[in-house]
Amino acid sequence: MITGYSFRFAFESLIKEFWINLMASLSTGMGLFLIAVISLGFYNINLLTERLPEKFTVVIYMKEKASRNDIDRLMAELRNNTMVKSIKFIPKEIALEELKKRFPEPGLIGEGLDENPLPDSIELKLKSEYMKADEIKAFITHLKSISFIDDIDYGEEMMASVMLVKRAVETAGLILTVLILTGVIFNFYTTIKILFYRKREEVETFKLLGAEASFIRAPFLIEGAIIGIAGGLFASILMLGLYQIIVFMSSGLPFIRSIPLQQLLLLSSTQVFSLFLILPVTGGFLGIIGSFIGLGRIRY
Amino acid sequence: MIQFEGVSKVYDNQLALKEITLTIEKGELAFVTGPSGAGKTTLLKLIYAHERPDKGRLTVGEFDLSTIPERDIPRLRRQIGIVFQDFRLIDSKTVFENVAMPLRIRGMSDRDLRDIVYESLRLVGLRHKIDSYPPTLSGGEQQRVAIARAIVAEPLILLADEPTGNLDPENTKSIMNIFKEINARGTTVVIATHNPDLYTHSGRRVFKLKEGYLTGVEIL
Repeated sequence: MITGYSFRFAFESLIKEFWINLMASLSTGMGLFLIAVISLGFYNINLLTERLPEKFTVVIYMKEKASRNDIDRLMAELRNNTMVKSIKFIPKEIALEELKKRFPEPGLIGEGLDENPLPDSIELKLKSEYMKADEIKAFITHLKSISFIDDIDYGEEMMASVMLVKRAVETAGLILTVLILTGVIFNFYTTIKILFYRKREEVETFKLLGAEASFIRAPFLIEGAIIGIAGGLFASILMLGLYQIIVFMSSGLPFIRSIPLQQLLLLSSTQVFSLFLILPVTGGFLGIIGSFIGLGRIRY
Repeated sequence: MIQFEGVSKVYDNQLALKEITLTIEKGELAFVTGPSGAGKTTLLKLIYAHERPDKGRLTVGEFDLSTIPERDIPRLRRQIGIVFQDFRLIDSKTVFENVAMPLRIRGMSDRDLRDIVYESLRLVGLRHKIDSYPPTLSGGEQQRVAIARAIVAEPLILLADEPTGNLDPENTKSIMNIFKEINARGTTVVIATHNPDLYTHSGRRVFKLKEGYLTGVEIL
């Protein structure tokens, strides 16, 4: 039962127990800041790996038996595929010319060959949007199943390594986030336990006067929520500071301008602003959960 | 209203109450008396479910306290006003806030409860002390604040544990008059006391306890 009195009781306690509440807010804020940095890391890793495929050119090598008709049909299918950005057919004659151009030293390429050993090929560039590594893999698997396709080169090993690193970083980040979240909730748990203990006489009197458990809990839950919201605001300020530093570093210093630091923190100013909403709301929510656990069962 | 049927209570192998059987009628003003350690406070604690009977059956109004679930205890206690032996006033809150507490617990708004609190404080003669804090009041004044808080929500039952302990005769008389006035309004009043001045010539029933046993019931 939340009444105006619950809020008054909570605010009185916030002032009376100022130092405990301040410490709880700051430690919550630090925890939320770390979670926000990890989440931002996730966000950026995802964004970077999602854009990874566009860095690669997919080359489809045809079998000898592939007819011009087969190739035209495949090209038409690929043109209609939403993933494909551009498509180019490279006949084996052109491929040989290219190779010769790349290695012009006499006697290195072409001499002693009766026929052109290179296959016809199709070079694809993929679109960055809607693109995910898993989708690429499925796309390549589909192409490999076509009978007149011999092989496909798309930097598979590098993609696999990047994905492995991504998964490792994500797992580590997730474990860290869970640990920090547990720490933040435990922080509320102990804070509310202390506050409850300090008010035990008052609480006991409330119970004897007929207060419901919800009446007793409400001010502590409100207090926990306010501590959490304050912690979230503190974390938001730290995030804004970090954002400003990165923006400043990426634009102000010429020698690192080439490093896309600002791109590493891929947030628009609207997203930065929304942190001011997300972090306090998260803090408030965690505050309520931690306080609820801290209060435990109200016994009569 | 209040019925004990063979109720016993034991604390750490120490018998506090033994096979108590008594009935207090609705609208009655009754006394429970006996020397220190006789079980007076335990008897009152059983009525407001601060303790549970180890044996026997205890009913208070619609509630069977031998089997009452925890969730119903607040509802039971909202029907009972209690004047505690140690007053149990909240030192950090003003007299007004202390007296208003039972009404706030019932979810009453500031606007609705103000006049009721004033009336309750007027009845105990402390209307002028609304902004004082309990530690600044005398023992007699604190006692009267505790009474004002106990009656403010117009309970069906009023329990008072040694309500005149350490009070001078004038304050004692004044407090007894308040109890009589509350009783006259229909509230069942149970006063635990070892002070014979309170019940002698009262014309009320007096339940006598000794070492946990009910040794007699008299009208004095």
